[in-house]
Amino acid sequence: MSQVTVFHAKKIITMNPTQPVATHVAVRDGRILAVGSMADMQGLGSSRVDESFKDKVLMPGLVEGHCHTFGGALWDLPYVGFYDRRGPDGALWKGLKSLDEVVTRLSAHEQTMTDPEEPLLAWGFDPIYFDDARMSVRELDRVSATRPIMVLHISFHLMTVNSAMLKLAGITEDTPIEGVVKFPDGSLTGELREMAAMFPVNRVVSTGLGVSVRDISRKSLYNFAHVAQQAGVTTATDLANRSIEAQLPTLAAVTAEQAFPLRLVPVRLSSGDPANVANEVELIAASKTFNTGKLRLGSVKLITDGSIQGFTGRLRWPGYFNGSPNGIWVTPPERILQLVERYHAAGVHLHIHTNGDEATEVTLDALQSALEKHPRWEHRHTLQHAQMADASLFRRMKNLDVCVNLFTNHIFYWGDTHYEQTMGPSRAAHMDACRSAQLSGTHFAIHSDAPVTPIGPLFTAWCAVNRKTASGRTLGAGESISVMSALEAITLGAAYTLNMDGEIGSIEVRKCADFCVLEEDPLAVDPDSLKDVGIWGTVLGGHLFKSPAAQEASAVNEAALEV
Amino acid sequence: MKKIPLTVVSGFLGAGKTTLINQLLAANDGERIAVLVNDFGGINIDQQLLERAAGNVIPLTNGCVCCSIGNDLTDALIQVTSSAPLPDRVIIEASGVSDPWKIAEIGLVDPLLSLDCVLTLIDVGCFLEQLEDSHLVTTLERQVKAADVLVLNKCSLAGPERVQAVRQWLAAHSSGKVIHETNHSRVPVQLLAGLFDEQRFRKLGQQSTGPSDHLHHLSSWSFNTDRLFDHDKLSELLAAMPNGILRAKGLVCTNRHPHETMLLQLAGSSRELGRIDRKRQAQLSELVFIGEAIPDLEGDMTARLRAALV
Repeated sequence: MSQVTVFHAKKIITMNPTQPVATHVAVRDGRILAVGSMADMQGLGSSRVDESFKDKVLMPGLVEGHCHTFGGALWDLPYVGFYDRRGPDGALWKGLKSLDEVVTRLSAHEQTMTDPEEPLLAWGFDPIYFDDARMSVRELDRVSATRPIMVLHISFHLMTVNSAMLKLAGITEDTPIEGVVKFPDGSLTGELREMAAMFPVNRVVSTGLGVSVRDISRKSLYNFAHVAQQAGVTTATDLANRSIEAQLPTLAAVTAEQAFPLRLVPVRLSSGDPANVANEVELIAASKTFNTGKLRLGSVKLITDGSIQGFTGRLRWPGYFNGSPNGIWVTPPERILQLVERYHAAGVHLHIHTNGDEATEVTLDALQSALEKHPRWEHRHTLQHAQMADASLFRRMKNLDVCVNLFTNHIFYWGDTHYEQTMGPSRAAHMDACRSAQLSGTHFAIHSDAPVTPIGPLFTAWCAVNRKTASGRTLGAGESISVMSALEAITLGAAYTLNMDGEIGSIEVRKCADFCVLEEDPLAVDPDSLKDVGIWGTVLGGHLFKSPAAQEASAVNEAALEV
Repeated sequence: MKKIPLTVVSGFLGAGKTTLINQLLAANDGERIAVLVNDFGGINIDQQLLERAAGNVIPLTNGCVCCSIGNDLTDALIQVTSSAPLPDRVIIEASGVSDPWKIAEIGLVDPLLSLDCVLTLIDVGCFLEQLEDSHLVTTLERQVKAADVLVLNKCSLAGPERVQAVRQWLAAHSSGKVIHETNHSRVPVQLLAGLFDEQRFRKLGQQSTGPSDHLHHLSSWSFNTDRLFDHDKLSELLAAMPNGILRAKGLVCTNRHPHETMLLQLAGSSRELGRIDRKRQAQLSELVFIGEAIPDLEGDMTARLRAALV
């Protein structure tokens, strides 16, 4: 008979409305055996009490229902973004508030590099925070006139390089394409936009380094997992992936390691071709043989439109606030209809990216049509983002049993852009409308889409509760939800969209012993401080994962310099 | 260093891209072609040609390689352009809904590659209906606009009236393209490979491929001079070419860099006038043109070129 561990905590938030709090939880073989008070822990056989958390607050391990694992490889590179981010080793990379600060950080890093030919790569830069000053060769040449430098923007659609990199990649003033940006005098700024312009740099960099930032390796998966774990996450998605077959051996081996602190849910990106669905369904069935407690395959993602802040989302009347033309169909409506029907008829679980409300509506039409032809219970199909869905669309979701995962982080990071340019004040007040979703009875979750915004479900919950933009503006207090509801969205709500609510998402008997260990009670703090609640670490299947001690990233660099 | 020609194959879902690619892989005319496809599904490679597939790459015994794009075109293209030996040609299948020009631009910016051709397949039977669909029209227009060569596919099935209707639409919305009518994506290899190979270039203008697939009649000619071009006038001319000029390529000397050679290329909507690493012995400019068989197009072009000389 296995050993039973009884965790004693100051408070346990169970997310079970019929037993919302407890002080003790018993764990055996990685599963929850009992929940309640000390008196409820009797008769469990040979057990020991673990007092590690007696001053801490436990809640179910946080579930990130929409993020990407590809960011993992980036953490080996210096981060030069505007907002603070914490790396896998616990190092805090402070946000940089001016181009001079970016130059300083890059220069410090450059001095630690021993091989003069090695390119310096950095990531996370976002030009929208620097008003009209665009980073260019003028700044990056100050870091080095000889070493090739590449700074990847946080959108991943642009990069800025220095003169040495332009030379290495063979990009000249005579290059006629739009994405190679020039100063008025015709000389190159070093900014390269979109895939074609970035390609020559990507090519020389990866031949040099032998790796792409999109590689899934043991190291990049662990980087991703450590960042997630420090944010209190115990289950995360990779939404989505076209190379699942190639990655399966790595995914299976790495997630099986006891040191790997996450349950991973890789989602297959659909090829977008209805003629291919039958073949993909076979591949999905084969991939499911790799499923374990920590690796869950089987779902498929469709992408219908682009992004609202990129003006590529598909909107209904009245369209973009600033008059921009309607966006693009990544998958045209007729194809959405065919794809949804075929996957649905084959029993597959779908995650469907729809940003604009026209895309959401067209997708609901497709789901309704599929359900009418092939009635299916517990399909759990989930709309991802659905940032402009209104009450009537949420009611349709409810009626079709469709779930929704709302991108509440957008309210902070792009809320001002939506208020001013894409949606206007009136619609921005209802972006990522959690309260409307809740009122309709639709099952909903909330997400970060990391690394596009940092992974951190407590912050995502803070966004849903406070609805504040980066400039401090509140967007639609009426769509705010309570802290309790937001905490449910980042635990049980997200688990429901992944079809895992029987295993994770709340602290109940039989479920996985996955906990998020907090320094304070998130239900007791001021709602505005929800994002600041300290996280000790996590428990996964009864194993403790303590977060590394917080330290400044610059301190790490200085230490390296002294060596 | 010799650049690798890049061809982009585009067309809406169902237009016949995969069928075209299957044919190319089987009849590569001695070239080592690397083909990047969205998915292996539908790729039908003759068993005799297949070697052992390794992950996302299928090498063929005829030296060709078929690579699936997977998550990222950048990664797949890097893989193919860093293999040893390098391919003789790269063909990329644009996805059914993407703008092929965005991919074609790689051939204009990367020093290893040279944009050869953008080929768009059109399913004649449903093209006009697809244009009515407000959701699709922008995509289709972009695919047509980016093309140098338009392949009207499934013509027999659609019937001659349909073909004519599509041709009329094309004439009204996008001129200056080579148009080829066919069935089952059958396309002479010269149409997508070798538009930048001067010998094949000339052959194209003279060739007729048979009664069922008739080729739009083309003409080709060359222009030579030992006088310098005025760089600004030449650039202006490039930006405002007469209708009917489909392709141009050659080496020119201009007054901006009189001791160097510049490469001039014109293909579809792209124009390039760039320096190359070559010092000329003599101050000679040699250009080859391909144009539609319009009366006196050659004369008109020659006169404009002369006007751009110093």
